Amino acid sequence: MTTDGDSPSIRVAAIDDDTLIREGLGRLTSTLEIVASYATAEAFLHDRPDVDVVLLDLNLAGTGRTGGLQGGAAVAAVAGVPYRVLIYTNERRRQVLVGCLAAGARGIVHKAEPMAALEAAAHAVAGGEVVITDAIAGLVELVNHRGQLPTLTPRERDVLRGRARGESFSSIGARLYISPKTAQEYMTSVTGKFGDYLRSHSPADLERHLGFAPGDLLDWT
Amino acid sequence: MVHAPQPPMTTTRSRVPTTAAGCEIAIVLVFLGVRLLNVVQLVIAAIWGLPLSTRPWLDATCMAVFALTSLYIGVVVVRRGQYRDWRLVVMDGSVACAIALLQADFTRPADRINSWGGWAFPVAITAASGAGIALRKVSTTTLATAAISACYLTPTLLATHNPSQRLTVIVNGLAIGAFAAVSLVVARFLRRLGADSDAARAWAAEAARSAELDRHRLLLHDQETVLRLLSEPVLDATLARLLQKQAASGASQIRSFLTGDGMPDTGEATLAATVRRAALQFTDLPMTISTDLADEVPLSAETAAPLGQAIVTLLHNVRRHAAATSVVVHAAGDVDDGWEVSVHDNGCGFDPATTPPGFGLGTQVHRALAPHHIEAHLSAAAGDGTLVILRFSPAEAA
Repeated sequence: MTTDGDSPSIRVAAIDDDTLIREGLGRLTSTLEIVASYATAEAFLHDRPDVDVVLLDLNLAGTGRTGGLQGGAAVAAVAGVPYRVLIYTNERRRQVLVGCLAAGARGIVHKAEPMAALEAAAHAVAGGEVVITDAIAGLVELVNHRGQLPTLTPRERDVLRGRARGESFSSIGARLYISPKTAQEYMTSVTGKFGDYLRSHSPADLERHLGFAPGDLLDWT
Repeated sequence: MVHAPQPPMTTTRSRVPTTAAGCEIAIVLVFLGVRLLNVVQLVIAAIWGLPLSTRPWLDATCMAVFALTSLYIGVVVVRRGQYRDWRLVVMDGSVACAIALLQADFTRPADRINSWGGWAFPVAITAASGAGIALRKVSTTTLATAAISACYLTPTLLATHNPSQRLTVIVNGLAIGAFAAVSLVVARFLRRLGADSDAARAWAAEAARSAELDRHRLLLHDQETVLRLLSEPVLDATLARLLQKQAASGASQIRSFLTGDGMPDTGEATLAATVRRAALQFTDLPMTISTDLADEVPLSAETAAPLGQAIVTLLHNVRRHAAATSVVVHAAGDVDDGWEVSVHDNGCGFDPATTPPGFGLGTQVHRALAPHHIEAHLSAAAGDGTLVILRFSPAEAA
């Protein structure tokens, strides 16, 4: 992630069935310019606004609507345009989140996170990075443990280990005698390699490597 | 009510208790036993020695004074349960000295080293032993013993001219000091033994009391959090359901505690299952549970129970104090190298230097896990969350 308080504003579109999110997000953030918001992925795809990042909620059935794009299908549709998709969700099931990353999402932020975390993630995704949650960091650790990320350096493994346990970059940096920014850069490299791994393997391979039941990822992609 | 186990102690009527007071009684019994032997010897001396005495009335009077003095001292020390009064030593020593000095007047020279005729020697020995037992300082014991020995040696040596008999008298004089010294050393050792025994019992009683208090705290610490949250007038429905489940589980634990039954043995488990079972009681928290790397780590029921309880306690603390937006419970390890469980929250944290860990972390986690060779490490900073790592190393456990 490459964010700080001086980051220039980036153009963002929000796709969320929650009116409060659509209407309120722009008032809560100073570094994200919410240029458009949509209740459905179809409406967004119809308009195709010029934005740096798309915030996408996974569950778009809150209005009682059925049959529309949502979940992994919505991610694949928006990411395929192409847009840089940042998942903004309450969803915590790892197979769902990994399925979304495999479908093309560039990052995940939970709605329980502070607004600063959302801003940082949006800037990182806009800059081409992959942003993952603590839960996904645990899965990256598992994938590495199973030998599927052989290019990780020892330092990257150290940082990954800390992130998988929920440690902040400042804490990891203090423990490894490196700056928080350097720790962030190591993690950016890890998530980049993990993104490459997701894109280069079939859902069946991912399910096997990640210990998911057959069909877990396909159900969401 | 569960009572703490009492320390072992022989307190039947037929046995002297193994306490400091019991040691005093034992010392008294040994002293009186030797003194009784003296009195029995005196009876024999009266039968065999008095006909040979040069002044039978003086001899008999001395015998009577010694017997009465012994009786008085015996009654006093039995009633007190100890022989530690210097005034009794002065009385006993004075009588012994007087008998030793007068012995030359009521015995023939040839009988002065004869036990039946010259009975002042055994009297001097028990008086010197009594000084060794009763007096607290080496200096006063030495002074008393020197006086008794001098009173025995001076008239006896002056009245004895045979070199062999003089040597016997000198050896007897030294023996008086030796008996006093041995009595002093043995009495001091027994008293130290008794004091240490009492101190050990007091320590054991305090440890048992502390352990019992910990058992109550262990039981009630988490339940207090559940009850406090349940008493909130407005409660999120999801949290309320979780709290109700935890209250039911807590009620079972309290019932087991009250009836003295242990918690059911759940058999062999895995580290992953244990961690997940504990963490899933807190789904109201914004929590990530990562146990993929702990799926194949076996865990005995004896270890799983306190580990699960420790995780529950840590998450209770997070729920109550942290105000966290992210909580990560992570477990990883293998059979050969050991394992670790971490509980991290990004909440308000605290400064360990100024805020010592409470009972939950200090005792419920650290002390409860120590017998299972699981170390708990805490790192926290004000405003930067809290991380607790529970670590097991087979090498350190072995």
